Amino acid sequence: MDWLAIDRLSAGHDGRIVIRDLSLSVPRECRILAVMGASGVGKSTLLSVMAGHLRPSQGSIRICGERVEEPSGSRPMVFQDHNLFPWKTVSGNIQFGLKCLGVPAWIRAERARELLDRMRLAGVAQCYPSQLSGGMRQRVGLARAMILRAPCLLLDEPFNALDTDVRELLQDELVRHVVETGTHAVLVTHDLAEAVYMADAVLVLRGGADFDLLPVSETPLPQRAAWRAGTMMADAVLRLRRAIAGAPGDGDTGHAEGSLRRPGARRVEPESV
Amino acid sequence: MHHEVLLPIAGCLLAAALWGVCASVFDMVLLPPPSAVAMAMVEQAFHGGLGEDAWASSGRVLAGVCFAFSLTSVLVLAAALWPPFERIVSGPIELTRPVPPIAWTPLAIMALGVGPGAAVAIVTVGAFFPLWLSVARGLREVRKVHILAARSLGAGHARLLADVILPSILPYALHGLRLSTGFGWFSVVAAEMMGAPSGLGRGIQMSSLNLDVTNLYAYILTTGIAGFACDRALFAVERSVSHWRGGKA
Repeated sequence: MDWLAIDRLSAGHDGRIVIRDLSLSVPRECRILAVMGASGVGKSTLLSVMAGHLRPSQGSIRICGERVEEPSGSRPMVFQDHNLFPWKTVSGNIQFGLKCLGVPAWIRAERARELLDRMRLAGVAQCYPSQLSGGMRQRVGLARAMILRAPCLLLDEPFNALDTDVRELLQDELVRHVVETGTHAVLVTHDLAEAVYMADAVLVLRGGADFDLLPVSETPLPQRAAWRAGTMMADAVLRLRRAIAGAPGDGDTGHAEGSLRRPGARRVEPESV
Repeated sequence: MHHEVLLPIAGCLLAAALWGVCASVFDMVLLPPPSAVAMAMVEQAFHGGLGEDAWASSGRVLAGVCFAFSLTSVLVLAAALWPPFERIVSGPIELTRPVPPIAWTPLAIMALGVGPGAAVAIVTVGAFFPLWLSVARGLREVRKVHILAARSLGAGHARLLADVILPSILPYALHGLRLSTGFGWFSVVAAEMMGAPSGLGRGIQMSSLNLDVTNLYAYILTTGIAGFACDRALFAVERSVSHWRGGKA
């Protein structure tokens, strides 16, 4: 069963189509899908269509069996600029999604407290976003989406412009969340190391209908934490870079049609280096 | 903080001193000394009608601003639920906005008679436009990213209105309320001068007819102090409600 199915999708902004006739599917065992590609190829457009913020000009997307028609709490989005509500406290921001679901206040507060502790935000629960650093705001943005334990998280370059410590903390927390809750995630990123560390597969958009869907590793997500300490990460990044550079000519990954289960799909195995 | 309070007070004291010097140097009927005006204010407050007039005018301003706020709230609610509504109402509003509130006084008196009703109607007209302009600007500046974020977290229309749109425009509404209260004071004095049984405007009118310049100054100063007090009170509310903006009230 595929958790993500894109069928002949075309979409764009301001009358300019950037994704044309794209079809692909991603199986359930791929928990985190990284989306990469040069600027302007449609990464954010694809994510906007997935979120229901942008209507496609044709085609459809199904995420976890649900056809995307409009924004939904079952696909919360984490934005690059966090987009916190400045009039709500950190705790209020985090609880917002549960409030929309009508969850009682005491349960909301309890779940928010757990997340605040995990994200090391307990000390600023009653602060407003204007009182926080950029890294703290992004942690709140991630916690605000994670609290819903939704079937799918959409992440638009959420770790950009963060210092290394905060970025690694958030990456680890997101991986832990995915593993614990069994959710799926789509992560738009420019960072190869981030894609290798977090994703099970990388979707490389090349503009229009062209793309490559590259499986990254069969190492389970939580066990990849050890990569940070050794050379595995650098090797894996190098292999992914080569795969991305060489993929279009090899003919074993898709143009207009692709699936991780397709025979001959490339695998980049960092542990085999 | 000290400068914010002390410098305006120093400015007022300086203006009073300058006024006193001018009054003693020129010795004009039209410029009584500040001490005489202060005495007249105390005398009128305790033994004359200044207190009652100030009370009556304050009530009319409050009523007029409340009516203006209610009208604006209904329009904003409609515009929040259906955005083209804001453009539709902006036409007639922009056409009537340049008309000074005092121009509506004959109509108000014909419709409501000489009395507090007409004055309240004029205050409502005067207070409505700045409030609407401010709130409409707030409505246009509700950030699309906040709406997208809320919708992607599962917010429906009611939650979007209560938790995103209204908090976004609240600072604009409070700022507009300050402006509209100021306009309310302009309007109430003008309306009461045209015809009202009581109020600061009527006091100013009566003092000028009696050529009682000292009393005239006492009424004018009282109007200024009442308007200033309202503005400071609303400023405090604006600051406390907008504390999330990090001190930018």
